[in-house]
Amino acid sequence: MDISEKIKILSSAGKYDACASTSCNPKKPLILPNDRIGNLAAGGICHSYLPSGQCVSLFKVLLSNKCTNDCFYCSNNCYARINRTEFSKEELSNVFLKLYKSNYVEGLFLSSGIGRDEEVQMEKMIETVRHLRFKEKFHGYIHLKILPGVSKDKIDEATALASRVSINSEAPNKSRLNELTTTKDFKSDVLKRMRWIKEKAIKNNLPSGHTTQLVVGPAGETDREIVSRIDNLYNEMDLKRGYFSSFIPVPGTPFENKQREPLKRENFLYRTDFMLRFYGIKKKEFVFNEQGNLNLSIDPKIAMALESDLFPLDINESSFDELIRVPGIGPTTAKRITDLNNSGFKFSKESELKNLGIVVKRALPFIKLNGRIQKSLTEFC
Amino acid sequence: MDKEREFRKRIFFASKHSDRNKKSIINKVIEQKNKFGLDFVLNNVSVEARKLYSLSSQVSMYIHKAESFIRLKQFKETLIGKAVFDFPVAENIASHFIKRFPNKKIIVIDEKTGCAFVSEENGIKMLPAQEFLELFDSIKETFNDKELNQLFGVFYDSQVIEERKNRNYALRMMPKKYWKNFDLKESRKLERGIQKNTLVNYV
Repeated sequence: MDISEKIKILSSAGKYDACASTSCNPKKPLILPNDRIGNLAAGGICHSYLPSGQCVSLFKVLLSNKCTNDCFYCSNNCYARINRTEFSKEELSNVFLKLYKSNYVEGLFLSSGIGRDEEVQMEKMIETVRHLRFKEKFHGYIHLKILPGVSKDKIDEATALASRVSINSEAPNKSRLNELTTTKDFKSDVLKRMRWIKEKAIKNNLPSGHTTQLVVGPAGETDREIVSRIDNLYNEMDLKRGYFSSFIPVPGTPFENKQREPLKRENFLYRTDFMLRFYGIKKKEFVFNEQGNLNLSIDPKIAMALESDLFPLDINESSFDELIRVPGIGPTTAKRITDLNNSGFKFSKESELKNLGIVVKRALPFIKLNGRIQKSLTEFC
Repeated sequence: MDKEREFRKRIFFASKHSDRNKKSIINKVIEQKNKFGLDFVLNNVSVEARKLYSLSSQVSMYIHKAESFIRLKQFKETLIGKAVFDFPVAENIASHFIKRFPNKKIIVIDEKTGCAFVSEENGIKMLPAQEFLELFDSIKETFNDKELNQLFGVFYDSQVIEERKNRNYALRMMPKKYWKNFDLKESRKLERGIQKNTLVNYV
């Protein structure tokens, strides 16, 4: 099989993995040799865009699509009748470095089916990264997927070599994962490994931390379960970020006849995720309906604000924590307002707020300027 | 980043913008900084401060995009790329690649200004573009960039998920103004004989 055909099969097999970010924040200054290829960029660079608007920054491939797991949603599951193939480490390194030097991609995203044995397959993946790091002297971005069930030693090696690692939890809890597969155990294959990743990431100073991905929809999980799990992972496992992928049925899989999940749900989960990570908002503040899901007809932050007793807020006398909860005000604008308030500046006009970058239309019903509410909620709605 | 440095950075990027009023905007903002302090201008309270921020963001965003869309050709130990840059930022792009490939010679050609930025031992040198453009064209014959482009095309196609197509979002992420330097689009447009410049046709 020629290299072009292998790329077609093995990158197509990995396209549902959502992680695209390449931004890096090294915890200590890296001393880099001068004969190296590549470096890590602080801000993620997107080299191209897909028709979905998603960024193409990483050469996203599987090392092999041979798999003995039976994940019902996955195109590579052991029952799927597809062409199975794998890259050798030289083949993969060669094609990747050509693309990297020509500036087509920003880094490598390497995942794999588990083959006959996850330990053996993980070793092959690590060997490929080792080849890139030591033989080819590549110092750029590598995202390495940790296969469920691998040993602590392999996780240690992976975190020492990669820029970021991830293990897919796929579902928010044990019972939901059991509906997606019979070959993975949530507690031992996912959570236990994640704890090891946390430990080894600190030891090896993993520059981009570790992430996870959840498939939204196929197991009937609620948004409350997902938000609760992701919040738990941020607090307990030092997770850098969680990715959500709305379920899309893949022909030839046991779930091919299941209904696809609306992309809006994924979008709303990302909004709540951002509020958890950057706004300091607690999971109990989010508003869920009786079924435990977010209301898809109203933005989660506005839904939260409508339920809150905090508003209307006087813009000149509010703290950062209060301002961040106003729809239309984000962390940057909240900081700008508090900085200016501290330096003695008092806001009196809408235009001043607009200049600051506030989405005034959304914020007005929830704030007071010159002691007055600017717009009633009835007008707003 | 400290505030003074952030302010200087804004002025630097805004000065590279092609806006006709940039000088008067910069002067006004410097006056406001002296009168009301750094917080006043950095937090965009005045219209001019906001305009300066906007000019500066446009240029820094453009540099970020340009770092991603320019494609490089390899010739021996040299990596060479060319583009028609909207702002005079070729030096910034060259600097980005020098950090990335320290043992290679980097050449970035700005076709708009006719200048080439070449990495030297002591830094970056600005030279007339003509001789480097000839070098760039001669590499085309020896370097199999067409094959590489096709390989990337195979990879790109394999990443497309039909159900997630979102034309408006895609256009927002990669506005048309950047397309003129986008190798993949140009080659595919030729391959498919597409005349109309729309993303739908392109993909």
